[in-house]
Amino acid sequence: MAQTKFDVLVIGGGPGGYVAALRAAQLKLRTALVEREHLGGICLNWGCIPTKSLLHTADTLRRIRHAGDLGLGVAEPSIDFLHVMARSRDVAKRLNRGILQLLRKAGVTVFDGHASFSPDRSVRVRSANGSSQTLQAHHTLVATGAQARALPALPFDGDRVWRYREALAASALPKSLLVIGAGAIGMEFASFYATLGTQVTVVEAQTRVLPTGDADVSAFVAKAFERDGIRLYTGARLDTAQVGTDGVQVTLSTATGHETLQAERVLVAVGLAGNTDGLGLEHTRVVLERGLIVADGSGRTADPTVHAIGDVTGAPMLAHRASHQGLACVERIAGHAVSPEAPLIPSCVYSHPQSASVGLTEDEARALGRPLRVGRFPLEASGKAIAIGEASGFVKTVFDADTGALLGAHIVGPDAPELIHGFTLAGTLEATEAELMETVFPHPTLSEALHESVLAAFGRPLHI
Amino acid sequence: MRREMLVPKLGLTMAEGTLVEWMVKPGDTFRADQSLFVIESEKAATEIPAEADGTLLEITAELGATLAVGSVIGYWDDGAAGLAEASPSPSPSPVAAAAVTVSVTPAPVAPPGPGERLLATPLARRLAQARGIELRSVTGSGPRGRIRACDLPETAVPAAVLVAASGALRAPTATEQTIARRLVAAKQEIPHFYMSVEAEVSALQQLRAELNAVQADVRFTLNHFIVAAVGRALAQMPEVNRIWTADGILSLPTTDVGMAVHTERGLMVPVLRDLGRQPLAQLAREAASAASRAQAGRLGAAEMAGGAITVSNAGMHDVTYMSSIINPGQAMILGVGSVRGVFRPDEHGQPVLRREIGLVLSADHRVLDGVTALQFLKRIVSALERPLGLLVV
Repeated sequence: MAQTKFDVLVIGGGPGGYVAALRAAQLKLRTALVEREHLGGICLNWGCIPTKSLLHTADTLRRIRHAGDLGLGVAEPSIDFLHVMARSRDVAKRLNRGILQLLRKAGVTVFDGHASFSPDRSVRVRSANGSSQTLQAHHTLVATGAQARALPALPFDGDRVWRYREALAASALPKSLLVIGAGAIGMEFASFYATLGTQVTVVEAQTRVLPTGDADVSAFVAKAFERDGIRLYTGARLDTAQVGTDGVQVTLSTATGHETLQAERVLVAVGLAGNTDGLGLEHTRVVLERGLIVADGSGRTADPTVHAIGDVTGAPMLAHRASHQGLACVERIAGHAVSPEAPLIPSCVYSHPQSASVGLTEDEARALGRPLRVGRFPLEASGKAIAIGEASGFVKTVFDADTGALLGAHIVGPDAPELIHGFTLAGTLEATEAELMETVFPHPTLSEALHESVLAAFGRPLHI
Repeated sequence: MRREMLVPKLGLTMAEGTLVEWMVKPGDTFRADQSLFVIESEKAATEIPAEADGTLLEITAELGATLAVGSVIGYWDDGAAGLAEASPSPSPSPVAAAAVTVSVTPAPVAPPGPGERLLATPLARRLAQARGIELRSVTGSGPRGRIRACDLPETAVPAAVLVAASGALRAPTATEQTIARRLVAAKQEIPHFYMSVEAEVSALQQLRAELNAVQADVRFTLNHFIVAAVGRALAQMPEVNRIWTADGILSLPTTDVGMAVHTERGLMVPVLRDLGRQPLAQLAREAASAASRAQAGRLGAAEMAGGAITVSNAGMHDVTYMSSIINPGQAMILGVGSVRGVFRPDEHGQPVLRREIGLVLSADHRVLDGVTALQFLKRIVSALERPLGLLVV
């Protein structure tokens, strides 16, 4: 008979849950993981990873189109759209299998099925074939993630009204696409489909695209999108929506009046809602607020034996944040000291142009009421960026003028997500401007722009 | 290549050791296996041999310091060219493996003791300096106990005090922070002992009144006489005029006396110089000037340095005895109470009215023993009870 008693039971096999399970097993805790659909969660199967596959296709296409600038004569390539989509699915499948191997190697017992708490606080797992079994654990981690939030006027139908899943598995390139929501998900799909040739329109209720990011980055990205032929409506309210057999028609209210838009498909990317239904959480003492479990940085909830990590605990809904929180949670359960301080969590957008940020935006930093020093370095002045033909973007840094603490950093331009870790590391180690200025950055690299931005914040840039 | 010299782990259970002797000096060269220093653990004193030929560059730990296993006590040069001290030595000898290559497992939460390497982020170091916080008093929450900005109290006052107080909270001023830090250090580090006596001051009060009546150049206060009496007693007992320092017991060349002045910014202690040989009128003028400059916040740091003793007079506040905390860097403080009219029995058992002040001497027991301190106190009392002597230099 299979083992049914564990030290740690993880519900959900996404980047928060499976990483927590691996660490728990490393710590010699008897660990089980329950997953109802795909190991790796949304991130690996329907989010971060497959979208990066698509966006890499788009980047390559864009480079081929600009090959003439580099002295290479290349005809406009043909696009095998089904192949593009199939490759994205293959990438996800390959990684999904890898996770099962990692869990097995670590000694984590994996259960397929839907888990829920019973009144006696044991956990019942019902598998797809109808069988069920009861598991006991000293500690249970709820890592069930989140799903796309629907708009009442535009319920998902899997055909005309997409969520990210349909956008990742389309059978044909739509002629036109309306993207509702200009957060990271909406902007990435807008960028992908527009590059492949779809006429894309993005509608955002707030006053700027990427509304949680730095305003300078939003403005730069908006301009670049419009230059690429993407129409943007910000500060726009969706009034009505009509789904027909050949497309979708919506009406918007904007500051300047009313607009009627038509598109073959519409992607709704207006945020995510926590997966808390059907878990039997009413049999625990966890507290829910607006459909999310209230938990601290190490997943502590109001119930001492039930912990929650990742998207189901609210923003920022990012895979790396879920993993970090999962690790902290398991370390705490194992009796190890965990940092009371919230970690610096970078966030990245892989559209064209790419952007990445960590810490506070300039506006958020201003709201602290402290004197600031803000540095900007344009990539137009970067030797490497010019050499690779991508001299567009900037690096912005925000410092506390009194203490030299790095409050925030924002990069927009080529490989921004690969560059932001420099500032994340500096911020985590609490480097001040002095250590950043002393650091030697290799030449020629895009990373030199990080250094120059810090120098600029303190009035001593060298190359502008 | 510059390399660290570490406290070795000499047994399975050894967590710390005491550095009791250096057998080489900075600049000395040594051969492999030559004994370099002696570490005393719970069990034995052990001579620690060199792992290789080299030169001692620097000693960073104090003799007598108790150090965690793996603490750096100095640096040496192995004569090889190299990139950095952090890179592992290419082939440590067996001796090196025992003596130097040890696992560092400091407690993750306890602040490091004196001599131990202090882990703190650059921002934490900068903020601690700005806020006047001693980093060694802070518990770090980062990896390996690294102190981060979030671990620092907003001010130098220990956080527990702020949390315990209910009611309105305000940030202490910079001066208050400095005073708090120094007082905590003094009370924790100096082994105080206290002696209380009374001095009969009828004659002194009479003399003071007459002096103030016959001239208008200087206005004498009772405190001027007390400070003068302390200066004279120091001149008579130079063995008392000394302080405890990290390097040893320091005898002071001049009879300097600190004078506590209460100001809006907190207590200030200007130090009056060479009082053993100073005419009373000059002393009174200098004391008045120092007090007014202290009130105005215009005392220089040099004016508040030095001396083995401070006089803290609370006579105006209706107090009989005041046991004070020794100012850091000094060895004594004399707390002075109010003048009290009391009846004391004379030699026939009859009540006699006396006017007395209570004097409490707080003294550093590392520097003074009880008998010496009492003799010193008696000389002060004697000078106050026969005050005409104070008029003669």
